[in-house]
Amino acid sequence: MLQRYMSILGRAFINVCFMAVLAIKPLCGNALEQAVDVYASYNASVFQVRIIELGSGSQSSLGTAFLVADGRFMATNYHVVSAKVFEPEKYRIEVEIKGEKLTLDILAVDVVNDLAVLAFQMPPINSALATDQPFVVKQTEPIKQTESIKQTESIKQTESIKQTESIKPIPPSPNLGKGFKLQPKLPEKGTTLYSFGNPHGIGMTVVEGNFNGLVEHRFVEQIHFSGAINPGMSGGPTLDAQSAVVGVNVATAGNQIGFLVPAKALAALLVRTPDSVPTQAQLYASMAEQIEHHTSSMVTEALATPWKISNLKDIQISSSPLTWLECWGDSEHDKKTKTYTISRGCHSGGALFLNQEFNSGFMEYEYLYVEAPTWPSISLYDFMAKQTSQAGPANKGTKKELGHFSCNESEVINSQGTKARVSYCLRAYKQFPNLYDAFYMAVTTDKKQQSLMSHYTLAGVNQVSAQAFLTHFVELAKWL
Amino acid sequence: MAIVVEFINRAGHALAFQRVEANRLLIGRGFNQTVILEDDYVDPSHAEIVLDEQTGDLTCVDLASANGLILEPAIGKKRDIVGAAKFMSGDILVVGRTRLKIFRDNHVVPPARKFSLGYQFAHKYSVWPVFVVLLIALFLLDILVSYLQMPVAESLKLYALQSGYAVLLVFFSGAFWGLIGRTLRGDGRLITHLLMAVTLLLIAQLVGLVLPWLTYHLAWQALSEVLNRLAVGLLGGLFVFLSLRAATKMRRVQTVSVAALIPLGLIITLLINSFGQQDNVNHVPYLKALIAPSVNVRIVIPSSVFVGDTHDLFQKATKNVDSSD
Repeated sequence: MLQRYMSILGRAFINVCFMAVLAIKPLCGNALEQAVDVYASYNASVFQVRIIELGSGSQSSLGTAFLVADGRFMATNYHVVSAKVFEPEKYRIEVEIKGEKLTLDILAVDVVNDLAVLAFQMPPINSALATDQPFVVKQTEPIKQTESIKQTESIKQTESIKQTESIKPIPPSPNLGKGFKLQPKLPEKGTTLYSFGNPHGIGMTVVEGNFNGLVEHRFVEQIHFSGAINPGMSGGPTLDAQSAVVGVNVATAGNQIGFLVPAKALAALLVRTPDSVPTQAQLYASMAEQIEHHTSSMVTEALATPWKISNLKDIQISSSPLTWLECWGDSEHDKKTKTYTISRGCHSGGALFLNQEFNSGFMEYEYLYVEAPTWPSISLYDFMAKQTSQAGPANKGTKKELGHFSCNESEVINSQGTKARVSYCLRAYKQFPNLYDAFYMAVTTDKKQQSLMSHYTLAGVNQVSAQAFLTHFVELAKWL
Repeated sequence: MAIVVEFINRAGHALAFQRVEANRLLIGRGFNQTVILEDDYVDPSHAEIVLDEQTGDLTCVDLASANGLILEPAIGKKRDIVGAAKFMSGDILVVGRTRLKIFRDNHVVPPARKFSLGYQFAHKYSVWPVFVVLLIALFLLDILVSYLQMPVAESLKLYALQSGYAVLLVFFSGAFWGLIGRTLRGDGRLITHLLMAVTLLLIAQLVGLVLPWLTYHLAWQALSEVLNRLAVGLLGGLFVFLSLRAATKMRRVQTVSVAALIPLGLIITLLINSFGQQDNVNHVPYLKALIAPSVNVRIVIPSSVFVGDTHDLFQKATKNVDSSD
């Protein structure tokens, strides 16, 4: 969910960054000088990236991007450019370099770590875009001024573009800025880091903060950075004193708690980055593979670790001991209604952000035990029906991305002899074949005065993982 | 022999009878006629009806009327009469806008119908005690339903108070429809409407009790939601229809159909709503009803079978995506 905080310019955060800079000033003069050095040497390689909605011609979101791979590519957050992934004909990614507006294409994305690699686009010379946008003509000039080999290359490319009218990325000329080096190794805890970005679009900013290790109890690794990261800084680099990228700004929890994607994830993504712009289908396929891998490894890990058996009063249940699962629980003796309820549940933290209305890659399970010794049986089950009728899928999406749920319903007795009304529902993804959202809801129907609801959802799983989890979960409840 | 003229309305109900002790009679607006009609579309002397003493044949004669004479036989198609025509006892003659059923006086009439049990009951005993019993039943059932929903003894007083609303509703609707009947026909009976209201509310409560059981055993949430709405709509519609019928005796068919539009519209919007909800991809159509183990007769399957059955569900879910494109 943390990505939500970063929905660029979406929320008005207090301008913590100003206060932070002011507070640091008198304390650490030396560090500040370092910040000045870092900023001076690399500010030309960090840019504000805008997502332009073509219909209105105005920006729909903002973020930060920086040059990597010797300046050939730009790296930013996936959530900054997610709109372009799903509706490429509606949006354009744009950076402004020295007063020239350049258009970028998405080369590769990593939805699990929230990263994207972009490349500069060379639109066809005779396209409408080219005539409307004079910068394209200008942009060819610096390329021509560069080394002769590159010049001939670019000319060749321009020619081929003229012939095929296809869009291909062109390596930007070196004077756009130098690419950042990546530092996949994590620094010592407490090391001073410098985060670059353009918070709220108010101007390029360097923020100083400290490395505080990896965020604990997370399935996806993230760096805990104690510094003010604000909306708009998403996708900006965080550097060490040697100006190497340690992480990419991704989210904030407010109060100087920032989160970074480790540089090794970016390094891995750069290895996978293709040389040409992928088609939308290819992009979807790689996203599907990432989500599938993410959920499959979650499910595999969850099933590989033995579940801890515990009792909810008279019924035995199990829960996973994995630390990356966020768990909660509550119980209540209601004196007026003479009922006793216990609830417990766990979930895998934030879902993977795919676009503003669509997320996936999430798992959760939940138990609710209700006991009403003085009630007629009919009332208890009526109560349980009301308690369990509001459940929905944990992840959200729209008709553009998801199909409708289909359900199987049965009165099921498990190997432990517990009888339950089990509903198991699945919906498929439109863009990602072989991915499903699984919804499981079971309520025991064998005791007169006691009942247990057990429920889980898996978002973005393949059939094998879904079936493995179902096979495991359906057997858990056992009356003592 | 004599001829009997029955004045009927367009629904076929008798409005009045006139027995003429003669073998021939004249129909028209004029005061010298045997059967005088108050109808601007009828000539002063419009038609003549002749009964043959020997054969018993009935003949009608159009006396060169402006709007003619139409015969609607009990068997066969209706036709215009040109000049004269024979017809059967019991056929309908349309004179102007007035409808007359013409009989010979020896026309065979079926014997009296037996009183229905309900009628006998209602007349043997006074209906008021029946109504009171039903009202008490409704009151108690309402309390029971509230109690079953949240069985807290301390709240019984509150539930009893809430059941008072149902009782109030019965009296309100009785008064409402009774007033309509009195205004329209001058003979609205309060007790008829009170009985109707109390009976239908009782049925509604009982249906409400049975529906979860039905839903659970049908194991089809979408259908049960529709059933629920249908039950509400149908009972509401039935209530309005019966009340209207009792209040108006259906003499004003147009009014009735306009009134029927309301429950009908209600049912249609409810159906549209329930289908519209299923269009949302975040809506999970799983079975939501639950019933007590003692009345649960669903077939139980082992979990391994259930898991095995879900393989088809993946194909079904994939098909859902393909079909919606």
